[in-house]
Amino acid sequence: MKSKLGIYVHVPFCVRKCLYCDFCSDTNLDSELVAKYFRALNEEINLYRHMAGDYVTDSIFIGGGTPSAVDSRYIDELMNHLNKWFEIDRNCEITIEANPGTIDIPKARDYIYSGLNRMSVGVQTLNDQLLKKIGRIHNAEEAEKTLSDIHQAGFLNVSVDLMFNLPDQRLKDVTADIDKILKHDINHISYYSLKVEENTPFHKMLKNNQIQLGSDEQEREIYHRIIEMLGNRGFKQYEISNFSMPGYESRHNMKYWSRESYLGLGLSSHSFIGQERFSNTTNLHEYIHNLLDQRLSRSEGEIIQGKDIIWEYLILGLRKTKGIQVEAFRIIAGSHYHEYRKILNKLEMNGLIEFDATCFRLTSLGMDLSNTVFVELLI
Amino acid sequence: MIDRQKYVRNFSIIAHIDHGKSTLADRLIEKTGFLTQREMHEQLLDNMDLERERGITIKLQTIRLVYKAKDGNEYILNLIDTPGHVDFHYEVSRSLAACEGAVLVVDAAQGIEAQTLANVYLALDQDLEIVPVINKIDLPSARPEEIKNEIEDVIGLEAQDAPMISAKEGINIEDVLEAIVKKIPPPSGDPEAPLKVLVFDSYYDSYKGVVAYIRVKEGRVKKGDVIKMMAASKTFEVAEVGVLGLGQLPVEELTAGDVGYLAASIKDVKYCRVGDTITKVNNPAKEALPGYKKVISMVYCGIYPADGEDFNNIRDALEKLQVNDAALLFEPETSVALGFGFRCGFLGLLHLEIIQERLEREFDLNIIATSPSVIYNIYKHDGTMLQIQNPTNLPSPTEIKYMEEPVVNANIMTPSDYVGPIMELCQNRRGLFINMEYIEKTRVILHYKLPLNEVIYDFFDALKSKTRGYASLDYELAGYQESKLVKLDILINNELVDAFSIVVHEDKAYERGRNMVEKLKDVIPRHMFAVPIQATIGSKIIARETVRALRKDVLSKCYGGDITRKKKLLEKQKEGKKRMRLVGSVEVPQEAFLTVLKFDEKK
Repeated sequence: MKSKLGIYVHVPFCVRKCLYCDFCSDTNLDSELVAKYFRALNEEINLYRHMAGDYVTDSIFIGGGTPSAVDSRYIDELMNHLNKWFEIDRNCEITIEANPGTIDIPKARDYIYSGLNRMSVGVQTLNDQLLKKIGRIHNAEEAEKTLSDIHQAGFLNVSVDLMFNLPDQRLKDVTADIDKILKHDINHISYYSLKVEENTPFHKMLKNNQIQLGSDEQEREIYHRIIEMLGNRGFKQYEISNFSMPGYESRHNMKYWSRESYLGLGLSSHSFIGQERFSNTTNLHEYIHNLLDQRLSRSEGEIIQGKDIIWEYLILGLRKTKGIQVEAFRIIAGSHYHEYRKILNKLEMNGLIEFDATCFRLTSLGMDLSNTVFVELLI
Repeated sequence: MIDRQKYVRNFSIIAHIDHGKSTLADRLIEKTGFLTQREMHEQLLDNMDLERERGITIKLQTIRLVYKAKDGNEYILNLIDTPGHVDFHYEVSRSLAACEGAVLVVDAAQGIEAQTLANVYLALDQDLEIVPVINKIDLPSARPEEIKNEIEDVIGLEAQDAPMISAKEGINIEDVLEAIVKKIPPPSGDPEAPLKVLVFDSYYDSYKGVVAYIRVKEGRVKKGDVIKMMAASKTFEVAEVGVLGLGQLPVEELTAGDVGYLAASIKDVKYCRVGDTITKVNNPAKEALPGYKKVISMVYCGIYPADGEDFNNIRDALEKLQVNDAALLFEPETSVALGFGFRCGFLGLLHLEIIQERLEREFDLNIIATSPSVIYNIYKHDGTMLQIQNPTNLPSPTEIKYMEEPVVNANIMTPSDYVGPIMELCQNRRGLFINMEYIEKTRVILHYKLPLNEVIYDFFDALKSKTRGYASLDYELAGYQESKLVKLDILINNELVDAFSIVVHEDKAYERGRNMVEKLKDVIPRHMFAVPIQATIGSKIIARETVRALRKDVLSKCYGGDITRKKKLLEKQKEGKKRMRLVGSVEVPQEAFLTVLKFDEKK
């Protein structure tokens, strides 16, 4: 039987860069550059055609950047090209990220014709003031319009990205966001806490006291309220930042946390094939130049081995709320099992991890202090 | 033989820090043709890296120069270098005792500073002929004529014909050499009298044993002589004597007036202390040369291995340092918080810092130093007296009748603009104002009596910052005074951390306690539980802060499957954790032990 594969495709173009964003993206939407980029992507797909035969692809995720910012024909060509070499499962989950202000009904329909069946919409918040503050190009009304548009176009499987811990955002703002968003037909929510990364405008603004963030205590309080509120409305938390209606967990994301194979295509994308991790260049022109020259533009692969496998298995598995099966872990850890078990027991004593009959997982406190747990397990 | 002395000059160069002593020494060496310019290293005499970096001379170096003077004669000039800092007073005085004269270097822009005066007084104590030299005349801010007047007014030295030089640019160096030859008297002393040799420095050589740098005051000494160290009461057989060129040049014999070195297979520097007198077992001198003092450590601190460092490595390093530095004391001690380590004694704060840095740099050791302390006299109700330098060993307050602390006479020279801030500082440090003298219209010397434990606690840094570096300080020990002292302890998570304990004046305890807990609060990371930090005197809590429990420790989402980056971040965190000290169940970063001791004027 062929192994399963997830494919991630990065589209590094945006209308404007949000103030908190440190993803790899370019606001140059110059048609020539975009065309070149997609030609390069096609070349990259060609270069992987030899390995394509070994896998059957059951998830594709087109992320960014803002994939919806480019003309839909590029997405169509991309899908055609993937289909040319890769065996794509009939039930493949095919997601595209879209941002309000860059998508309308015709574009969404085009996506459906191209085979896409899931959309992840970058809403972030439905508060106009906050949207402005974080540098989004759309307001709340446009975001809500997008959600109804794509539904109307035929997307039945919809996820939204939301954020909390935004500057001056209070608990009541978050509750309002949740109330509003759940009026729409969605079945998946990624709810991220704003983390101010270096080399972003927010980082500078925070340092200059131009923005203020809530205390750790406030941030955690909101986080736990989110879990509670979404849970009450049928959205079960299945990973630290991800919630879904039953059966609508993101297959693609689950691959990351279950150490299943995925191939990253496009600028700055990451791949994990077998036990090898590698990543593409983050330099757009270098990427285009190399690929148009029919050369891959990726890092030296790193083969994950020994304890690193065990550690990855733990820190990724523990992100999932169902946790890790003790027996499965015993097999992965092999002769190191007792070493790790000792730490896990200590973490259990500290209230960071809990065991039940078959599994162990992070407790609620453990999620708040997940880094502490991961660092402890790094041996 | 008197003829031989006629062409010898033994001299030192004295100056305030940075007035150009070492640079002038380099130039003198260059001018005497001893070396070619190509062979010259910058600042040849300061041969330890640390000295070069700090621009100060720690260890003495001595060199013999051959100079053909304008009168047509060839002179032997023994240049005896002196350390340039207050901590090394005694070493300076012994070096000066080996000379007949001293070249006084004064910066043409800055003029007389505190250590200029301190050194001049030391030189006058030894009846030396002082040859003033005005340096840095190339500076745009140079005011040589004013400085000459200053030297005449303040020190009372004839300075109108003082050489005006720039050591840096090599200007008028010849004038200095001529002045040395003309003004400094040749050595005297009877070569046929019983042997009297002054040891003014020594160091350990792994082949020769202890090598003493000496000045023969009377008599003669050669290989094979059986000698006696008069203070140490030890006898040795001389293996080698010689003069100090660029390296050591063995000679047949040294006689009265000569400066050179002596090796006698001495295994331990403690048998060959600076200031001791060497004589012969046969026909010994009746009395030793005056001025020998056993150096006393004024400042103590604990030195402990930081995590991952081996206790034995520190012991080995301290032993190696001690071989060349008789003033460094150490003995093993144990701290509850820091484990096994050493209690070390130093001449002063600079000496302490230098040893710490040498341990870290030369020996590549990872150490933690505890808060510096002085020696306190503890008078108990039972009539006994204890001398305590480690606050941990202080008896319980109920046993103590009263305590005494060491005080110093401090002389602070400053532009008069800064008199206010300095007085405020001294007041704040429990100083007793003695008087103030004007050196010139805009510069004064302030005389204070200050508790030593206030001086070692960052006084120098505070002084520099309050005066933008213009003030200079010199101090000497002036006995003990009774004082209301208390032991201040720090409790972290209700556990006493002995390494943080200090002895402090009652009136300052609250402020210091508050300052310490606030700093600790900032450097101790959040734990899974709240960590109270308290400053206490006995059972009384005088300050308290709490490091709140860690409520959040998360990394943002996995970037599209970028596990590698996440791993790197976590590995960095793990690394940071390793550099922590576990105190009870609290992880205390190493920097806590350093930052807490540093005072910062919060203004």
